[in-house]
Amino acid sequence: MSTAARELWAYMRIHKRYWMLPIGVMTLLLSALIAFSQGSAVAPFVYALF
Amino acid sequence: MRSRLKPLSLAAACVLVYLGVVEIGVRTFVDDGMQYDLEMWKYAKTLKRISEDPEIGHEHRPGTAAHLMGVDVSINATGQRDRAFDSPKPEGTVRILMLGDSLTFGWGVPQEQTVAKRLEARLNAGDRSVRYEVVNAGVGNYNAGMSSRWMRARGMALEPDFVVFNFSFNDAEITPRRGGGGLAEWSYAWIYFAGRFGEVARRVGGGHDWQAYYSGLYDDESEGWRDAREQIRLLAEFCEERSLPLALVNYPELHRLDPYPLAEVSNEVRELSRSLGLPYLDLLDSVRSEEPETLWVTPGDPHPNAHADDLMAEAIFRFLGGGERLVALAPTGGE
Repeated sequence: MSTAARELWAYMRIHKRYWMLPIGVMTLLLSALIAFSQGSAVAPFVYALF
Repeated sequence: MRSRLKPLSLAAACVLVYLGVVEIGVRTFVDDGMQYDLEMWKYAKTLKRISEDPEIGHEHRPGTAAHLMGVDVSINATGQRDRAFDSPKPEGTVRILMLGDSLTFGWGVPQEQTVAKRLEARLNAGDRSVRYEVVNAGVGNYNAGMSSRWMRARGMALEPDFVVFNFSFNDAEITPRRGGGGLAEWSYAWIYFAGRFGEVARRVGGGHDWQAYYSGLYDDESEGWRDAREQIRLLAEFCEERSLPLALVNYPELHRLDPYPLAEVSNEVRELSRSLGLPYLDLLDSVRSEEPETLWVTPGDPHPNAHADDLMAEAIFRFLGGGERLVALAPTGGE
């Protein structure tokens, strides 16, 4: 876990601000999606809607 | 009780605000007009509609226009990405109808640089006794069956003298039905992250990459390939009954060209063409010596770019004997 994430977790725990947790989780998930989908295209042509 | 509800309400409110910020962020920083998933989504929303004929599936909205994948796209009154064509057709005109999907449509390519328009310019260059019109009837996400059905139901209204069936490696997909609903109708963030999720799923989840996916479309048991073969056969019959010449042009997938990983697919298409007695052209040779990436619209979108379309148009031009094979068709113009 990065320093920033550790500090954020510590802040939430000490101040009992767990309502911030979903934001942290979503940020991690969306960042991971972007990071892991970089690079050359491996997908066939995909059409949104139709 | 109230003390437990307060953080939950706060968390829910924060999530909503956060999602709003993500939506604004995608619209502001990700949507640069060249992001494939978002541009295809805009294409579907602004220029396509569900066809009244369920056999056709979808079609272009006549008279619409948009800026997509970096280029202007306008749809004429009869539903093609092209200028308006006279009806009745002027005498001394040979009209060629190009059926196909997004490759024929010229996704990411300026209208005048698409295969159809470059072919038209080549045919009309020099001193010719006839005038050629090449109609770009390509529609994004059409499969072989949709092109065939559209031609048999609507195509004759454009008074073609010659039909080119532009076959793509994904033409054996089953006919797409409009998806969407909910967030997929309006959320840029939803479309963008759904695309990212699909990409990650293919990389780490064992999903099909492009090669496995396209090869799989041509299994003997594939419903889409069965339908494509039947629909091309029906189109060949339709054209023969009307003494309308039909040729089949096969477009290569541009990820890797030498060795070409979808050679078996091309063999299937060539064999189909031979069994129906259709003149056949494989465009792979026209681009094989190029570096694949130099032929793509963007690094994330391997649709043929303007350079690839130029090479392919030249190959089709030579396939048509520089137009000489079509001159005899001219007297039918205007009759």
